[in-house]
Amino acid sequence: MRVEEIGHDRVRVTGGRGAPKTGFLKTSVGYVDSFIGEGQISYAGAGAVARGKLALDIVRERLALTGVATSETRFDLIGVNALHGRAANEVEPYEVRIRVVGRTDSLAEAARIGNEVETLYTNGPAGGGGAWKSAREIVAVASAFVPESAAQLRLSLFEA
Amino acid sequence: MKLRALAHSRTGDKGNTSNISVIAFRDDDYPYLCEHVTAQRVKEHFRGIITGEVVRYELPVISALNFVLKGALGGGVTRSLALDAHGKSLSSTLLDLELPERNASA
Repeated sequence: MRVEEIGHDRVRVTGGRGAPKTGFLKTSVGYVDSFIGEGQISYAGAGAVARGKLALDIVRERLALTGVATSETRFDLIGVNALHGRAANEVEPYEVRIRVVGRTDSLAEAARIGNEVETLYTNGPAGGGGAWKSAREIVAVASAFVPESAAQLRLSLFEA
Repeated sequence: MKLRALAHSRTGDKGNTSNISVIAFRDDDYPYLCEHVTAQRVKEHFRGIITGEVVRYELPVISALNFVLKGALGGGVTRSLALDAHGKSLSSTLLDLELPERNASA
């Protein structure tokens, strides 16, 4: 397919093709997947990364000691490795934010994760600040194909 | 030189798959990008970040490449534990790709 500019804010599109309908409709199915618990806290100044790493180690051990049941966990250093799991260069940032997040089977269990991060205020490396926590139900979306013949179109219009 | 010197990039996501476009700033640079920004190089560059295969699609009419990366989004955008669940920052990762110096030309 070609797009060519033929004037100010005007283009000509040519060469497009189509194919027959597949007979299936793509369907997005929402379902309750799990719960996610999360906590964050920041460290600044000299040794911020070292304190952040120690804080992560503490939380990791606390979750194991207290038997928090998780199927998946992450221990991130925001500003260092939270996005892509590695730092391209080894420059020491002025500040770092730790992020502990885990998947659980219940909201109560998820809340324990954030609590173990928040408690670092007084039970962790010096100078932890700006703690934040969250426990939430995860409604995930899975994709499926449904035969078009099985779907009956019905339109409902709501006025607010 | 890094890829960001020659192109810009956008990301999309579908389930656990990320797609990342590479769009040349100048049409003249497109052949050079096709030669050096291969699916294999991209897969190497994303090692440790993605778990699946990389497929490259070419769109020569708009001097662009589109990379589809499987197993890239922590099990799916709607349930991932990742801070950047949509993988929007993966475009920056790709633009960090090192490219060999070219012979001097216009």
